[in-house]
Amino acid sequence: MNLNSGMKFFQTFFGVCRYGLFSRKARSKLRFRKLLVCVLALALVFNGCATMRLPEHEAQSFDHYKNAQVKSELAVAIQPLTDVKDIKEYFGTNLLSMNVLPIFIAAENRGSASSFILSKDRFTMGAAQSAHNNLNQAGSGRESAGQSVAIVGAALISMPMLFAAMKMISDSTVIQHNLKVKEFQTNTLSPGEKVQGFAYFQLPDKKTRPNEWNLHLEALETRSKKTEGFDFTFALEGKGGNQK
Amino acid sequence: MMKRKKQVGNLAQVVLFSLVVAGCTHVYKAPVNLVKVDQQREIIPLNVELRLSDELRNAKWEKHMMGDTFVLPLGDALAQNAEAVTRQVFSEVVVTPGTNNEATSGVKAMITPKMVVAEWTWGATAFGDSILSVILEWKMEDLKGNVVWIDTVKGDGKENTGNIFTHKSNARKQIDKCITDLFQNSFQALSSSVEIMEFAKKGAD
Repeated sequence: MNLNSGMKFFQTFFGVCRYGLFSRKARSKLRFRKLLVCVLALALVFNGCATMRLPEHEAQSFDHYKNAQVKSELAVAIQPLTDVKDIKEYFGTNLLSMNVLPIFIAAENRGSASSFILSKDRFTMGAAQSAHNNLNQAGSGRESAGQSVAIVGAALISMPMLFAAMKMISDSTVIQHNLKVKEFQTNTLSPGEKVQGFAYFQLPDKKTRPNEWNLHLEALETRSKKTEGFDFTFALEGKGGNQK
Repeated sequence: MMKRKKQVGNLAQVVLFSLVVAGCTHVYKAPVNLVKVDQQREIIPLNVELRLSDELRNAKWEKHMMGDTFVLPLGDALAQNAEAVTRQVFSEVVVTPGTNNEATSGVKAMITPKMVVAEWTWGATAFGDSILSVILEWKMEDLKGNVVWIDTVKGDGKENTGNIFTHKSNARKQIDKCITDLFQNSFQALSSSVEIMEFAKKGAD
């Protein structure tokens, strides 16, 4: 009795399995599921492991900027990036948490005869009360931005984590490249020419950081050798930007 | 006998471990082919001194990562192409290392190229984009040391990062593209500068 019922059970079980696994309907269902799983896995891999891309910071028209000045037909505008969301979008990392303030600088020579040299070595930033004291010279917080990511990656050596580390290394190279390529470079502005880029300033610690700042830029007129100074005062909201 | 076998085994383990842990240096080669400039432009009638400093001749990109060092020596490619481009722009060029503050007799201006940025990104996968960017600063001074013109020129080279078999050849293509782009842009910047042309005109009068 027991043997018979056991045999029947096995027969039914194998029958169901055979039908379930190898019937045409079931096979096509299985194929579809397999395909779906593969597509989902590939989507996850490519999305998670894609090389980081950072957008360009496009210059606006000069009327758009709060801080803009025109002297001797040279228009200069600045935009300090104090919003963490914006900083992360354009630089891929929170530079403010490393006490680095990126300031976007755009200049346009509206004249028809004069040329100007805008040298980044002549950019200084200080507390608003002592505008020309050059308290905080242009700093170099740039290296640390990408490297801090790489250090985290380098510490992890297990195989799946090594893959994660590779992704971080890729990100750190993209972050570092982006910081340097977007940096404002010394240029001669011929009549009608425009230049733009970021200047990075190393800020003091949050506790000792003043809220009001002054950025001083100098442009040299190439013919007369006369220097034009541009001073912009701005506030770092909440003593160090909008840390959202 | 058993003891000796054990010793050899231990030694092999130590050697293997040090081979695994020790960092390697990977050196890429930058092609020193001279960049072809297609544009037909009038040569600027000016006798200039091109200062190719040791800093430029030894310029390189270097990255330390997870114990490995990656090096791309760029100095030769930059120096040779800087000379070639300058000779295509100006009528007379004297090349010096720029160690003397005083200008070579007979020249009207000094030109100094300087590498300011060399950055290389790597894709997260073999198919990911890798970008090599080099930024060169070109400065022209008169005999008194006044800056006549200064400009920064960027060159980019983009390729797939590549896998273990294709990475080196992709990198070579990418470096070639970057150097070509850099010196074509440099030629454009030097030959179309209003300030240089004005200075040459003044010097010729």
